[in-house]
Amino acid sequence: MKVVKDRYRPNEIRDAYLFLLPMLLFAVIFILLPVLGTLVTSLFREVSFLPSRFSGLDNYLRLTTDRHFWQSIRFTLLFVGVSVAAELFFGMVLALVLNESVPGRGFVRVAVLVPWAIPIAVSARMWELIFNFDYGVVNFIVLQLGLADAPINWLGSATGAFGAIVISDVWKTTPFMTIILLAGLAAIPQDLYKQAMVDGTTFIQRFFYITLPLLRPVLVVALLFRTIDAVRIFDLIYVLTGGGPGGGTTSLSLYAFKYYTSGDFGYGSAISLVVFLVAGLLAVFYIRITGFREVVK
Amino acid sequence: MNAISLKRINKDYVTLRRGKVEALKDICLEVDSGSFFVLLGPSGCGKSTLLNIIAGIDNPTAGEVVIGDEVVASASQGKYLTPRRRDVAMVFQSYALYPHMTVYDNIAFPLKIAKTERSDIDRRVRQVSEPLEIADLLEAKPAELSGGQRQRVALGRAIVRKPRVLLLDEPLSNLDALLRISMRAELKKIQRRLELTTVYVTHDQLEALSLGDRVAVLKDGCVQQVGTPHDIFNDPANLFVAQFIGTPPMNVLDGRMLEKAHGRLPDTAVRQDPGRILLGIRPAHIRVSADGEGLFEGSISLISELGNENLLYIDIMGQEILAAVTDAGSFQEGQTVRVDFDETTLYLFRKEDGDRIR
Amino acid sequence: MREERIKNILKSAGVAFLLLFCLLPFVWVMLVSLAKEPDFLLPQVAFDATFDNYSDVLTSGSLHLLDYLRNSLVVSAVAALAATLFASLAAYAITRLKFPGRLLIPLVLMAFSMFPQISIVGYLFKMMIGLGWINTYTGLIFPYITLGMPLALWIMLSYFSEISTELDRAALVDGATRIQILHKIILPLAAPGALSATLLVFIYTFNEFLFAMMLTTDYRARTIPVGIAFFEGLHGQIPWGHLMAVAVISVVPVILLAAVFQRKIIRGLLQGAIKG
Repeated sequence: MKVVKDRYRPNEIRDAYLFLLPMLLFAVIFILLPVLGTLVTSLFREVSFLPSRFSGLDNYLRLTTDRHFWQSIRFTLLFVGVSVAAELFFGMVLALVLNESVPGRGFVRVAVLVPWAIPIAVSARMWELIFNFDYGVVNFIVLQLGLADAPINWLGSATGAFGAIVISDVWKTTPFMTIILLAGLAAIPQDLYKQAMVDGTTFIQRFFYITLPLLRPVLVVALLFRTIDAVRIFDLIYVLTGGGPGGGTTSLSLYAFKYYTSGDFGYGSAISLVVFLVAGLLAVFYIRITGFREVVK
Repeated sequence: MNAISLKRINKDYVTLRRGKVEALKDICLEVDSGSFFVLLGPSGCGKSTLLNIIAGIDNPTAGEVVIGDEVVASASQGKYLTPRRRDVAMVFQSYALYPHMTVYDNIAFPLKIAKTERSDIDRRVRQVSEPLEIADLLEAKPAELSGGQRQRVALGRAIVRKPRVLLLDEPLSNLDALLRISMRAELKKIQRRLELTTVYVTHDQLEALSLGDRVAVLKDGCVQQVGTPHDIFNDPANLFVAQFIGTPPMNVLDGRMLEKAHGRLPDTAVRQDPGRILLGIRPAHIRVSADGEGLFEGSISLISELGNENLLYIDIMGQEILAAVTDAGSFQEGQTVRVDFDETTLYLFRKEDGDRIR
Repeated sequence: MREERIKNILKSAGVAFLLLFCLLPFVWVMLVSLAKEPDFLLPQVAFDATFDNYSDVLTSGSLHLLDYLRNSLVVSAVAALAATLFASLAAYAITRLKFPGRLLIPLVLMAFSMFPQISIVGYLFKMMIGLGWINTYTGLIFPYITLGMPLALWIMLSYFSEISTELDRAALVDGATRIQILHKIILPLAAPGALSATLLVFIYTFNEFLFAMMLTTDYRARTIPVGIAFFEGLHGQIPWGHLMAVAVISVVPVILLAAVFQRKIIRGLLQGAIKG
């Protein structure tokens, strides 16, 4: 017996695509096209004021022996790991604490939005001041509390700069994480906690058996976006440290940018595609781990 | 020995909107071991709050809770045992099944927390699911179950621990009428078999009367009356209990009706000031006849035929009373009838505070 | 009740920490912007309150601060409105019409939004040179619309999906065209969502840096983030007071928006992440 399927109506299809047209057009022209263009460019030896020449995978091969490239990969991955972990941890703790009703909610919410709303470029300069050798608050506090004898040149050392970058990034994104986790927590019915209390659990047990499992969908989405964002990081580092000192805090995006501006478009394109690849791999990795349920939105 | 003893429990809340609210006022109750005790009352009367206090989810502002011979909560000593240590089990109105765990895991959860042996857990889970008829649902998730099935899983989770006390907060409210009646019987049978001390909260007086060995009627945080279903029905302590228990509800007439019928009332009533008393009479005790003798005359404003019971709404001097008769065939709406009742079935209440005059 | 009291203390501590954490750095910025000398923390230096920093940067012709501000506001506003409009059209089709690719297209668009900007900007730069759009409003607005659309789509999708399709059916029976339905019925009902989307895209594009830096060359089209990133002193020493004054000024529009629309903004952010 044949099952009659719901057929598409040609009118509806035409209307639908008409509605989608502007969006699709923009997406294709300003996203798809440039990415493909970058891909193509990466296959060329394209250096400014030299004739461009097809060079196949030369640029990519060059990457494999490029010490700075691997350094930037290490840096990027390290940054992603530390930063996202910190945001998750602080965000979770704050969300748990704030899950109860809180006085002055409106004000708290605006305050929480401030780090997120400020342009990264602006906040980078802000942190530049805070970590400044002569005028920075951090050095002031450190000296006052006697934690060190002399002011620390934060931005002048690789680890110091790394720390400064992580702190700035965590500052900007933790509030956002907190809000999202808070909403996820609010969606868990209180009755479950009461039942678990009666069933004899401790607070820690309730967190692991009930809160975490039921928070999973939200966590996964939040982590996915944050991780991909962290991999692409550019603005903060460019403005705060410029990739220094000595290239010690150069993320992948920044590394690609360096080559773009120094004229080697081909090589820069190749690097930027690697960023693309890393982000894509992470996304696939996440989706695999969590199954396709999240995708059914 | 009493299984549960509540001594002068008070609970106050402070809310932004209404300031201090006294949810429970000086509650004193004793629950016998192995008995089925029902907390009955309209919404907002504090019965759920009381249950939470027994469980340990909430704490009293004053008073003591004793389970067995152990003081589990004492406001004066500042001592409050966590639910974990009280060995009570609870079933919520929403069942509170863990949505991400299978039925098996849900039932096994309290045992797992108590660090019971794996083989032991398995045996006990299956032992409990058999009589509850959920043995073949063990691998399903709560979302896949019907209301009745979820309810039984919640029950299974509660009794698998063999707790000292079982607490149920309106567990049958979310079920449809037929299911509710059959589950009522199931619950009672299980309780009898396990000899489990049970405290059951409901707003349904029919449920309370059919389930409870003893019933406590609450209103606005105060205990109105405690007793067997028989006592509560036949010997109500005040107007509230009299009208809350029994369906259709008791008719309440003003004392001035008294003046209509001297000589045919209990002696006690005759001495009362008619303006200060109220008369209660259950619909089933009212006799209606088309002709002949009767205390009052009235006209039928509505007839409701409900099968084995038929209701006549009779208008007497501007007041409407309800009479329950077995045969309504001979009556018609608009008909003038005479209404009578046996004086021994009358209840007298003081108008100012609703207290029963015995 | 000790447990309750501990909880309350933790709660207040948490809120206090959150507030300090979020606001303190910026409060510091404001203090520095109002001081003559940025090292007023040292005991020997006094805190001289002054508005000079502000007047300096606002009147300095070579700084073009007001130009940057204007550019940012215009570009972001136009991009935000357009992005929301296009996203609404698309969201309408996706939630109400049946067509092949109905599930695929939003997914693909979401995936697009995760592309690293660096992979796009290189070739985009070449494209813009070819079109002659470098350092123009158009040259920024178009890419910004594209950047903002996935965000707007995400929000509009969740708002639209909450509106019952029965309304559409009733309107169709009444003789309306799809565009009319969108315009007169769906959009008014989803207005809060449209507002959220517009606000979020505005803030996002207002703060955007990489594209703005690559696609503009001077004050005629340059935006605030780029302006502040490149702000250097005349003699190698960064004029912190001035810099912080610029920082405060650049942040004012966004903070104002956040303060006024905080509920909408948060709701918009959550709609996407939580989905009911």
